[in-house]
Formats: sequence, structure tokens, C-alpha cells
Amino acid sequence: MASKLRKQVRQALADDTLQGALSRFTMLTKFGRQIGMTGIDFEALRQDLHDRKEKSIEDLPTLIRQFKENAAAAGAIVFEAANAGQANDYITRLARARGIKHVIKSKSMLTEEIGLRHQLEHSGIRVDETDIGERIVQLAGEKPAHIVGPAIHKTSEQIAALFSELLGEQVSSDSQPLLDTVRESLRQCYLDADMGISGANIALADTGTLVILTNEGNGQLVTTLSPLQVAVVGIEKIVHGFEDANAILRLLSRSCVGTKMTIYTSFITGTSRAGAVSGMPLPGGQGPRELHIVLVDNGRNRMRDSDDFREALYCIKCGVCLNVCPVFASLSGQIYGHVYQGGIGTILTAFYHDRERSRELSEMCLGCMSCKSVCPAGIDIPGLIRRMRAQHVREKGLAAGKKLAYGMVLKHPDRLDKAVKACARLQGPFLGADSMIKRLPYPLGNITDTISLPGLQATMLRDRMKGYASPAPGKGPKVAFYSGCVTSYAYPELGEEVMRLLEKYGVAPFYPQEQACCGAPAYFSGDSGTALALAGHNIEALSDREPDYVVTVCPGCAVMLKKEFLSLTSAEPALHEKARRLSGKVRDLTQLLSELGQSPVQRTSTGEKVTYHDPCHLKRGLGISAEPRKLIAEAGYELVEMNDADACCGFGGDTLLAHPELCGSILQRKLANIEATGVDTVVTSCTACVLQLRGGLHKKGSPIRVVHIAELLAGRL
Amino acid sequence: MTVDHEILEKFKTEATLTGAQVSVAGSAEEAAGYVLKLVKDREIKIVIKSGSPIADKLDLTARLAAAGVKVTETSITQWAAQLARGKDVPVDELAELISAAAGEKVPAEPEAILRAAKRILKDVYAGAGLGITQADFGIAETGTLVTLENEGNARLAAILPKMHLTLLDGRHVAGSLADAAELIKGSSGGIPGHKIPTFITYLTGRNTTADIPGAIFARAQGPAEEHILILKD
Repeated sequence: MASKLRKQVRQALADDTLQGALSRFTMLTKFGRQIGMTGIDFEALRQDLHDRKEKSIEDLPTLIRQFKENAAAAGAIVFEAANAGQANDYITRLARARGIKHVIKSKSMLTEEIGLRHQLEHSGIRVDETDIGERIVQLAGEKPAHIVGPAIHKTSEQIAALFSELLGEQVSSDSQPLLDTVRESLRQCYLDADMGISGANIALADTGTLVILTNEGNGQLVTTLSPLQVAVVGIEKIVHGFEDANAILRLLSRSCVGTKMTIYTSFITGTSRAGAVSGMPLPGGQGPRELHIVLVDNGRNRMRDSDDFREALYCIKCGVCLNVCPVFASLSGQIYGHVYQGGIGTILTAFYHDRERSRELSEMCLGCMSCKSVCPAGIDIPGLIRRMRAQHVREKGLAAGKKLAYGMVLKHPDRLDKAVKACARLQGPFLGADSMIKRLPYPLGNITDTISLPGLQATMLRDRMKGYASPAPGKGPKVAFYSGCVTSYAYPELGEEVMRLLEKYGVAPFYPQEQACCGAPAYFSGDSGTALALAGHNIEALSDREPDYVVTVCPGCAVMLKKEFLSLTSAEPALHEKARRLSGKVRDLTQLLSELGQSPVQRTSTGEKVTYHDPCHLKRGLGISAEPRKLIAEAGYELVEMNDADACCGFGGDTLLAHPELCGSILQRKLANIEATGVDTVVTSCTACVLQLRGGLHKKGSPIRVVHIAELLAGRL
Repeated sequence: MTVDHEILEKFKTEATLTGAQVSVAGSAEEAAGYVLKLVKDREIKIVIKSGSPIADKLDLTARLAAAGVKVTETSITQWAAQLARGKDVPVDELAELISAAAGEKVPAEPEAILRAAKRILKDVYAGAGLGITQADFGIAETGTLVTLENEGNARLAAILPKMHLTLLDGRHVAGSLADAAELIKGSSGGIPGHKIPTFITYLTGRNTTADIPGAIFARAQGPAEEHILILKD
């Protein structure tokens, strides 16, 4: 039975208009970011921003007090709202008390979060959004599709229809005349309105200042023209002063749009003043004479109190994580159901709106780390998602199927081996002549709707490696091979090629017989207990015989061994120390081969062209992308780069079960990019990617061959 | 204070990249010529401006008037002075002048005068072909213009007219955002309780939107053209 969310996913994927808009959007933002990142040291700037936001959130109670004092001294009236209701009531009462009929608003996700517009409209007050995108979704009666671009999903025909209805005349859908019409209709709103409402991108405690950014200029008009002004500000926006603001300004627009600065950046402090006429001082200026600042908590202090989720408050709402998210690129933002979209939106939804929806949304994350790699505040969004899943498991327990699979089988290598052997015997009826499985019964049918699966091998790698239980003495550095489940059970011959390759490279490879699953499936499902047990088991198994290196062919496993084991074991000092030693020895195969040098691989040209797919966990998890390319070229192949070589292939473990259509759509984009190169071989360096790409191409009946880089190199010995 | 040529060149390069049309005048004469040519080329008949020492030095209002262009001041003090033809008039007389401009009786008290002035100025802003403002300083790192004010007229004069020209003293360019922050922190609000002025506006390029498909980086809700005139003298 498909969930409601899965039905919404299917609808979005089947909507050709939406898909067209999304692919234009993705192309544009990718280009924008490339320009935005030119000529800066992004890693240094984002570390600086991360540290400043961390400090501001740490100091938040003090900063709130300072902000209130300084804003009040400058003539503002500050109100602290604990929740959405208090904020809405305050603003609505204020509008009523002043006899306000017409409000203009600049874009503010916080006002969407608290539902302010609806509350004001409910009180009979007309509210006009002035950001063009926000105005479009207001007229359409929809929620914003993207933090920064609320109407990225709309075509100009749809927009023209909305304004035709509003203005009671036929509006052209040609871009330029349409834009002129929109501008003129908004101009009239500004001149007629008697109250302005804005948000704030940043607030400065040192001076009691609001910092408001717009590219369109609507922020200038909203915050100046009406004598009565309200700014609705999330408490997490408060920083110390200009130095912190500069750190944000340096990266915000560069990240999302690609420009160095947002076009209008306004620092507004208190109320406005004019000079004197005929020697008589005037009582105010041409800007606000009454400025109310509503500081909103609405779950933010709860987030601040949580060690697991505090870093979500560092978000500067630039939206770049959405621009690079393969799930967002397939579905747009309205699928998330509340106000905030993407991975960060999944976390914010839990605190501001709806924990159950958040849990459901967390199932869509493929863990590709694209968001993490671009976040200007250095937020580990996939880590937040994983902790969200773990919290759910702690409170509600694992689903029955997973409990059985992880706790009873995965946790115990001998049981897993037996289960695989049993499946290998039972799979006969589903196995094709080419040893591939095209269709399985429910619930695994969800997977085979998207990809064909490789048949399981009855003689698994562990059995084939009995002769390699310990390193040959005096044959060079001792290299423990950690194969990972995909290699062990589906591609054992790949494991044999790895051993052959390593021997030719002049090292002493061996296969620790006690190795078990790295625990990634359990870890990313939130089953920390099983993950910790497997970490302990593997740390022991891989420390035995004191290898100089531990080499992997699946970067997903490598990230577990190298990084996640460290955090999993943090409460157990002795084990943690062993994990630290292990971490230093872990190498991806391409990394180790590059370090070893003196390649035994033939360097003559093969005259063959291949393309290369960057595995998410190799490129973004371990930072390795040059090494495999160099090895491919050295082995005599001509590398033809595909578009978006580092885009996720759509292999997402659990996501494949919960959202097969979503994973399928991400996979199809990858396959299209592979096919567009015109080559007949795609190389990658992750066994899970091999499984996904082979399965997808097999399903399509494509002749394109997928090889793991170990096979490619072993073939040239 | 003298012109730092390296910083000024960087500012010009960055400001040009943001989409602004940047010109440099070596003399007051050259600068005035630039403005007169701009209004002639664009057939501008109505200009509004905020207070600007550079414009005063160029005697811009008189020169534009001589060219048949009506120039209206936007700070209420200067606007009132303009109504009174530069004479120091008592408040009753000023109220009568404002009443004539507003087409209704405006009492001679501050609250009423402020309201009437704002109402009249709203139409002036929106009807102008060109707004002229002066930036307090530029920022070379980003090609940004920074304007400090308490009243709000400069930011309205910069956004409501069809076209906007910023005058900048070539000696007043900060190297970086960090340098700009230091300059701002050193500026006094001039209002009790304000540590800094009410409005500090960073303008970086010409307003744009990407919300209408097919009109990427098109003019959004502000002026169609952003001009920057740097006076090097």
C-alpha cells in the first residue's frame, strides 16, 4: 500500500510542466553557483560563518537582551512571542487598533511558518505580498516551492492567468510585458497600503539593527513607505554585529544566486527622522514612525537545547541545499507539506510543525551529501536527518521488518551468511539466463520495479578467501581487504580481482575472515544499537594482525569505518581509541593505489573511451575524485566526462523501498547523462553504484557496460 | 584624503560587473556635462534628488533647470525651502505654500506638515524620470554603494524613479565589507538613542528578479538603469 507521500511523489514525477520548470531551475542555479564560488576561499569563509553562528546561538540569551535594549533605545517596540499564536495575535491586534485596512509584505519564511497572512486576512485586512514569486503563490493559493524562489514551479502562462484574473483583463504571457504588468500592479499596492510587514535576514544585537535583503527592491519599498512597520524576526537571526553580518553577506547571495551581494541590503535601526521646517522640528521622517519588532521563538529554543539538532539554527536560509538536492530537483518544494523544504526543511518541520511528517520526509533523503558539501554555514544536514531517524527509533522503535533484518540477521555475520545462502538457493525461479533478477515479489518488488538485481552467489567471498586469512610475510605492507556486503554476496569475483591487483602492486593483502557488515543500513535507519555492535565487531576484526592499511571498494563502507565508527564509539574510550587507529588506516582502493605508485598496470593506449561516475560517498564523503580519473587515464583509457558526473545514482538503501519511483527518476537522469557521452563503458568506484547502474541499464535493455575500477585495472595487468 | 587609485579601479570593475553603468569625471565641469547629457539622451523632464554635496558643487539644480528639467528636492527640509524659493519663511506662510501644493488646507503644525509633505512627495518620487542621490562611500570588494540617512528620502529617490544616478566622491571608497563596517560604526546616528543612522543602504547593481520564466535577470521593481558617476577631482 502506497503512503500519501508516495502518491504525492508519483504525481509530481508525472507532472511534465513541473518537471520542465525544475530542470530549467536546476540548470540555472548550478551555473549561478559556479560563478558565485569563483575567486573565493569557500572552505575558509564557511568555517568562519559556521563559527560565528555557533557562537551567536551559544550566546543567544545575551544577544536577545542586547538586541531588545538597543532596538528600544532607537525607538522600536520589541515584543517576544513564544509561539505562532502570540505573534499573530500581537500583529493582528496592532493592525486593528490602528484601523489598518491594507498591509504590504515583503517575503518572510517566518510569516509563512506562523501563518500570519491568513490570520490578518481572516480579520478582514487586505494583505498583498510584494516579492514577485511570493505574490504569484499568494494568488495561486499555494505554499512557496523554494525558500528563495517561491514560484520556481510556475510557467509564464500560469502566471499570466493568475494576473489576468486579479486585474480583470487579459495579461500577456510574454515574459517582458508580463513582468511590466506585475510591476505596475505592485506599484499601486505600495502607494495605497497603510502598514508594512517584513522579516529580517539578520538582526544585530550591538546596535538593535534589522538587516533586510531583496534583489527586487520590494524590501526597500515595504520598509519605508508605510509609517507603521512590523518586522517579524526569528530569534536565531540575531548575531553580535557587523562582523557577523559580513560573514553571512559574503556567502548568502553567492551560494544561492551566484552574485557577490544581494542587490539591496538595508540596515534599519529604529524609527526615521527628518530635519526642521521654518525652524520647527518635524515629528518623524519619511520611513517608519512606529516600528514593532516581533521576536519569535516557536520551537527555536527547544532546538537550541537539543545537542542533536542545535546546528539547524545556523541556517541562513540561502536555499543552496535545495538547488543541489536530487530529491528536490525531482519533486519541487511543495511536496514537503508545510513551509520549509529539502533536508533542512525536514528538520525544521519537526520543530515548527509536524513531527510525523518530518519522519516521513526523512525517508526520502538518499544521504548523497550534496547539501552538506555546499552549505555556507557548514551544517551536516544528512547527519541531522540520521539523528532524526535515530530519535524516532528511540521513541517508537524500529519497524518490525527492519527489527528482524538488522537486529536478528545483519548484526550476526554467520546468520547473514546463512540467510544469503538460503536466498541463493531460493532465487532460482526469479533468475534470468544472465544471472540477473528482473522481478521479485512484494515488498522487494518495489526495488525490481526500478532496477534489476544481481543474483546472490552461493559461494560467497568469505569462502573464496580462506587462503588469504593472513598476510604473506615479507611481501610488503600488510593490507586488510574489507569487502562490504555487495562484493561479498553479489560480486565475489570482484573481490578476487582486488586481491590479484593488490598482489601485483607489491603489497601483502589478506582477508580478515571475521569481518561483518559495516552497519550502514542500520545506522542510517536510526538503529544505533545494531550499528554500534557491528562497529565493535569490525574494529576488532580489522585490528587483528595489525594491518598497515585497510582497503575498501565501497566508499559507503569506508565512510563508516573511517568516520562514523568514531562517533558511534564516543562513549566507550577503549573501543574509541581502537576506532581512531583504524580510521587512520582506512583507504579507498583508488586512494591506496595512488599512494603506492609504481603501477603494474599496462599504460599503452587501449583506444577505448569510458566515462566515470563519482560515487557520493567517495567524492563528498572522502573527498576523492582526481585519483580514479588518473588511474583510468594511466591504464590507457580515454575518459569522456558526463554531465553531472558527481550527481547521485539514486541508490538510497531504504529510500529504494519507500520511494522506488523517486529513486528511479534520479537513476534515469544519471543514465541519460551516461548515454549522452556515447561511450559503451561506465566506470565507477563503488560497488553499490555498480549494482544500481547495472540494474538500471539492464532494466532498460541497454548494452552499456558498468565496471568497477578494480575490474578495469585488473583487466590491464 | 586623496584618491586611492587601486581601490577605485577595483570598485569600478566590480560595480560594472554588477550591471551598473559606471563613469568617472575628472572635473566638476565634466561631471555636470555627464548628467546633462544623460537627461537629454533619455529625454528626462523631471528629476528628484536627495541632499548631495557633489550636486551642490556642480550647481546641478540650476544647470538642469537651465536645460528645462524640473528638479525637486526630497528631504522635507530642502523641499520646503524649495517651495519658499530659498527664503526663510514663517511657518504660517509655509503652511499656505504647502496647502497650495497639496490642493487642500494644511494646518501650520508639524504633524500636518509632515503628513502633507509625505503625501505630495510620494507622487513626486513615482513620477520622476531620474533620481539623483549621493553615496557616502563605495565598497571596492563588491562594487557596492553605501548611503547613510535618517529620513528615508534617499532610499525612496533611489528606487521609485525610472532611472537612478548615484554620485560618489572618488576619495570615499572602502576596500572591503570589513572596512565599510568600521566606517559605519564610526558614524553617529545623530538621533538620541541611535548608535548608527536609521537607514544604511547597500546598493549593489541593478534590481533583478528571476521569478518570471524567460525574464532572467530582468529589471524587477526598481529603476531600469543604475548609473554611477564618480568625481575624481
